[in-house]
Amino acid sequence: MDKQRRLNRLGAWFYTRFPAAGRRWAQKFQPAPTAATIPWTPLRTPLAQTKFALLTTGGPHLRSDQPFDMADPHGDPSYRAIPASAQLSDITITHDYYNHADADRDLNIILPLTRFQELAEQGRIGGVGTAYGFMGHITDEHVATLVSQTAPAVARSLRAEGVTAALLTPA
Amino acid sequence: MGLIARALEQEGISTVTVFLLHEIAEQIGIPRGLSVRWPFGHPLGEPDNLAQQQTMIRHALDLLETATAPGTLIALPYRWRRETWKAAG
Repeated sequence: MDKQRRLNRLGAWFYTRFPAAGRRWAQKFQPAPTAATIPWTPLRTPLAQTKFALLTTGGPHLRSDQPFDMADPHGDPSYRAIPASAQLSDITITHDYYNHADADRDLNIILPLTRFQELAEQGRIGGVGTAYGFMGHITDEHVATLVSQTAPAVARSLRAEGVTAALLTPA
Repeated sequence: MGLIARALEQEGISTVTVFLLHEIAEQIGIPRGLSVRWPFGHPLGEPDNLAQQQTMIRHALDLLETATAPGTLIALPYRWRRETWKAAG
């Protein structure tokens, strides 16, 4: 038996014995999504008639709200609604996985509520809807929860209040 | 962030997403994206830098208006703390 086949058989044994390693190996070969598989909603109204929402995975929430769960190593797939009229001083950040000292000082660098309130007052955009804080550091089963439950729920709530455009910011 | 953007687009909301890692934005397939090579926690820049925040927001609004196909990703050239920012009109 030549060297290559012995290697292949060793590989086959390894990936059979350790299926998780095989899954990790396969993930490297997933092609990048093509344009055809990316959902797409064109902007249908001028900015001045478009109601915006702001969303971030930087972990902001109202001080009066329950903080994100920092004890679960897989993160927290839930969200916190922040009314458009909220003052920045009403909002705090619960997120242990990035340094938010600068965002604590000026939340606008991750959730630009003040900037969008100004744009709405100037008539440059049609309005500002509810903002949503997420805690981006999620893995494993929480990713499925985000995709199948929490993110669609937020999307439906935003549509219900007339939001048709959104700015999303990571931590 | 990309997963949330996709959920919103499916529900009929146009999105623009800021990324701090251009490679991630390319891999996950986002509707519209801007990337900047700035530190984590600073997608719109430095605290209290009004002109910088307005510039980033203007880029985002421009992209919403101009992008014609999903997967439109723009890498912005701005350096961290080495640019002069002018207030948006």
